[in-house]
Amino acid sequence: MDNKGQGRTTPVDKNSDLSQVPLEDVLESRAEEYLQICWEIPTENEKHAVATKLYAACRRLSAAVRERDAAAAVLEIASNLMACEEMAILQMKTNSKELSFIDSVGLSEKQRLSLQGSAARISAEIDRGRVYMAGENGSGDEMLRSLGIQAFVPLWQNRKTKGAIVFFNLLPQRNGFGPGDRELLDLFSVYAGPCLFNA
Amino acid sequence: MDAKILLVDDSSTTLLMEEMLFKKYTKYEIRTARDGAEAVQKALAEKPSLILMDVVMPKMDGFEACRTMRRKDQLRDVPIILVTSRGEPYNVETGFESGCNDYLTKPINGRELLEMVNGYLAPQGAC
Repeated sequence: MDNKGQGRTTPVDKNSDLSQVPLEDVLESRAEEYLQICWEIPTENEKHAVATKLYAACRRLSAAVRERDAAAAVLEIASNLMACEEMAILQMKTNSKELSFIDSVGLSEKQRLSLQGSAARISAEIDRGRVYMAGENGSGDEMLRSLGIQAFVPLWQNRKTKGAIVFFNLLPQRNGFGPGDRELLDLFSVYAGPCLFNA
Repeated sequence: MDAKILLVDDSSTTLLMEEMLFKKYTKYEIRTARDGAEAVQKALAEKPSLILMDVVMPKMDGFEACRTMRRKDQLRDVPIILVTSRGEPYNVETGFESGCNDYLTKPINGRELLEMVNGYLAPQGAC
């Protein structure tokens, strides 16, 4: 279906094959698509704000692939586009359920310990492969809620989940998630994994 | 002559978003800097019509850069909008005390940003 011009802002698919084209080219192409959406939608439209964020995120991730600073880029994007400054990027070790921290920012000792102490359950969440946002109340999200996690993004690579981005509290000016957050998390889920794990 | 804006942020993501918005919706000339010290240098060299500046940056933060600019005759009257990730009263008060004209909180809303900047510059070159 051709829905160009109607604000299509979630054209990401975790099952898409990202191995055939250089990742930075894929991300630049995505950025151009979002830019085109921005061109076609007035600024008053909420979808314009969403496309603007996704454009900037794709361009930044594309640069991160070239510059090999994907972890820093993910934290920077989330900090600036979601106003979250308490987060961690986790990697699941191959053939085990152990987790390692790839990078993190703003975590309290309690948050860090809670992640380490719940490694097996978090690994199970990674295997489940589902993006979680606080307030959506999906079944099976109780463990994430109990840890105070506001958003959980499994990271896909080659059709498998390899890690996750865990978001704790948003900054005080955010009253919960807003326009573009879900789309940004979905984008991370598809593209952040290859950016991080292909490097 | 079109107005010139100096965008200051250590975040590439924010600069990408701001540049895209201004290039699409305005005719402003855009200059960028990545920290407060560079911002002061570029502001003196480029004489921008408005400065949009992040608060938390390496080398020199936005508050200090704002205070430094206000001590320069050439920059005393240039509108400065601070972009803060934390909108608590303390930060807002510190921003105004440092000499800024206005502030925005992250995450930036494109429409809000354009409206605020155009409010200061519209006669000089907004679309």
